[in-house]
Amino acid sequence: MLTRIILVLALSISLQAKINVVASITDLADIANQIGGKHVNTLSIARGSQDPHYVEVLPSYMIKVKRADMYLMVGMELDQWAEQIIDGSRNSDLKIVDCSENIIPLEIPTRKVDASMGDIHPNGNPHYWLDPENGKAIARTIARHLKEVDPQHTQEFDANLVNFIESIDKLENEWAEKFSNLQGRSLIYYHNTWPYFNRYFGLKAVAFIEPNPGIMPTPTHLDHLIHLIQGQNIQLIAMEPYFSGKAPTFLKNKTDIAVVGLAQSVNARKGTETYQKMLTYNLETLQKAFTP
Amino acid sequence: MRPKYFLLLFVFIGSLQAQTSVNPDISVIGELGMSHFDDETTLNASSVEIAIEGYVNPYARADVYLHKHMDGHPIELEEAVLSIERGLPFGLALRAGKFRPEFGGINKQHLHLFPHIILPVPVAQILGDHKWSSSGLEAKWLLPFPWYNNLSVAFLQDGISAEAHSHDEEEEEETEEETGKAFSSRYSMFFDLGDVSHLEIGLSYYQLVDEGDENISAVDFKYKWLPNKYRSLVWQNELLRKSPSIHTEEGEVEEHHEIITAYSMLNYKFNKVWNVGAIVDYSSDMEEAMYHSEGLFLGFSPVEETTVFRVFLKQAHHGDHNPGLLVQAQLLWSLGPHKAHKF
Repeated sequence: MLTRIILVLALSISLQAKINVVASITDLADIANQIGGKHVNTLSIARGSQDPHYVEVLPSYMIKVKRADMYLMVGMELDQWAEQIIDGSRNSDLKIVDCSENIIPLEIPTRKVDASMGDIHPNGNPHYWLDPENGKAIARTIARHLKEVDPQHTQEFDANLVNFIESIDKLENEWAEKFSNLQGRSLIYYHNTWPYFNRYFGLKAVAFIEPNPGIMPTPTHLDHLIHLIQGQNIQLIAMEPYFSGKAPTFLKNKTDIAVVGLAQSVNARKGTETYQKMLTYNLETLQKAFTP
Repeated sequence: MRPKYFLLLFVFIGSLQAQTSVNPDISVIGELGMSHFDDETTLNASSVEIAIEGYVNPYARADVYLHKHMDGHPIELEEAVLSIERGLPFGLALRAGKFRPEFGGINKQHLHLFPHIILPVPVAQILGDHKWSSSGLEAKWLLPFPWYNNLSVAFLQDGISAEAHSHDEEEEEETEEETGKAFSSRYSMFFDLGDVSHLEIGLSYYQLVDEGDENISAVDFKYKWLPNKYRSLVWQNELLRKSPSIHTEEGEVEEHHEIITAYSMLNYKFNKVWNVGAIVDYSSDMEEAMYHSEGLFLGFSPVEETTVFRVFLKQAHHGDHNPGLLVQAQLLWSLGPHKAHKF
């Protein structure tokens, strides 16, 4: 009996010793999990299949953050809702990490931003995790902060970071060989989620289903897209899981363009359980769609 | 130029940059309303809410809401509150200033968030036409349970002014009621009923501190189903009980009966831009007669929530009066940033 109690106590102490990490999105949670290994418990506020721009501030999220040691924000004004969750958690010991701190942003507006431009982010496009090189930068940021919180396990965090970067390096070589035919391909996206992904893999976004970021498609805009698809022989529309399929289906019926679903985040779709799998899934999906 | 002028110029430019980096969020919500009742159509002219919000230091934020209710009325200070939410021990938070205390489910909601445009009359009967806000201090404690439990306790300079805040200046003078200091509290719990279903339950209590024996208790619950950003279902309910009380003013004794009021509201959002719903409300004693009403509403938000058009139809039954049909229409627009939606 005494042995059992000691075992339970020891187990509870070892559980308590883990760093509790809450992340705004599943990608940051997964990278933290790969870097922290057995020394972290991770969870994400937004589900992989959820639009990270629009997350309702639920009191239950505050309880999750109340128990956390570290909060991983996307930053660049994507997850502004996180501020309210953090405030509501009343966790004065929480370490807040902005994972965009070592990212070179794309698409920083060159003129004054206002609502006529739609849901524009003044500090640049915030979907930076979709470039594998940025994935490495995120991992370095997370590793550095984990070491500050738990210096005892510095060596393990460093080793896990090396493993993570090597796994991406290895995949980058494989992707370069296997998906080289995607270079220069043009497609239409639903939302402007993919500039970092496009830059790395050599794809080109010719238009978006949304007339402006965050704005639902209008009949005029869809008519413009029909002319664009027919005029430039665009073959593919790619969309995230949380958008309505109505407008893409309408365009498909009018022009025979193919529509595929991509995963903008870990666990957005089946087969995207890790950061590496998510990137591979998107490349495989695009290649399959572009292959006649 | 002398060195000291260089220094002054440097400090001035530096202060301008600092100002830019700490600018608060400023937003404006405008409203144009129209109502039709008793064969009379009225354009309610404009109402405007100005919100100025931001962090004042690493631990506290300030929120100021100014409201101009109708044309011809001055801008009123609705809230000006300092909230300390970070850095306090034991899951505590504090609010100080003028604010809407945590009381029931509807008191903290701003009017522009109502899909049914107007405050349910029985709620206005208890909380006043513009609901309850007062200067005071509120402490909130996140109780150490595995699920969300929050206890709020507030001491306020002014209690609830039960009489309706009329827009008619002469009438306003007659009906506005002075109240003493008040205490209010709310205990709320929140449950995740799965990934997309959530429930909040609240119990509230209000008591005048230094005069009268008036108290108000309330029970509220809200259920929300939010499978994705295109669809949602909200069911919000509240029951308020105002105790019988005796007021003595200038030697005259005034007796108030017990009043029980309630409302139940169902709001379904579909296709991202449309919402439709119904509301029923009830008061056991409104001017010594029972009151109840049924209403239907429809909303259209073509571009997020920057532009909203709403229509509300309500049939009210009050004592021996003939049932009256009220038609209310509203155009709302918002300018500037807005915070993420809270449950």
